[in-house]
Amino acid sequence: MIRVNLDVVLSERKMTSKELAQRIGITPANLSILKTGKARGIRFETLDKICRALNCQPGDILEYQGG
Amino acid sequence: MKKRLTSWLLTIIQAVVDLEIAIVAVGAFGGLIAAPFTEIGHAFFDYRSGFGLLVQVLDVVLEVGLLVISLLGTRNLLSNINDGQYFVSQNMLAVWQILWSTLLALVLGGLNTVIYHLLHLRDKLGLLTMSGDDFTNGLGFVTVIFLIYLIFRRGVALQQEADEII
Repeated sequence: MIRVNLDVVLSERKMTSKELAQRIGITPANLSILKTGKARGIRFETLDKICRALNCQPGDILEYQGG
Repeated sequence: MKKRLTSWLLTIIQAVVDLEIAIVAVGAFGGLIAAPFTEIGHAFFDYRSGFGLLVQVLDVVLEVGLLVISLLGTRNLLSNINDGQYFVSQNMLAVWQILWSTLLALVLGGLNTVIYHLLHLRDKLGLLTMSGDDFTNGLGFVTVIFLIYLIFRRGVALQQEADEII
């Protein structure tokens, strides 16, 4: 299972979801779907924008949890 | 340029379909009301039996109703595609509407041919009954519409899947 740790990275960067959504050009509703792990997938383009905005690696946002 | 030409063509076709809806609906129902008082009735209907006349009038109402339903579906489809909405559920419903109304019209036309023969009714303008060619062409048209419906159904499912990827 893939876990999305976006909320953790956001709190470390002291950035709100709304601000991130604005920076990467997606709707807050879609960002919320992504944060809660309800999205079917994530585009490389979106991942690239998130990593750029949060100055982090994809591995900081996505984590594999076995079992 | 190509996109603009397509949009222009779709607008023209949509206007023709709108005009056709108005002509069919107003013309047919206006004609039915005017028939007893004018020569229109004699040009269109076989007046030899009262029951036969009732069958013909019911036929006109049903055939026109189905044609208008089919044209409204076509209109919705053209309008959505002209707005850049391709694989949306409204389009799938519009194609479905065209499919069932055309199929029913085809069945009705086939039944008419048999019933008119049995009741010795004359289809004066040949609009309500079908020849072998009409039936074959109609069946071909329904098959194509059914294939388009299947393509739209798959397209809508793929679009929904794509929309879930952020």
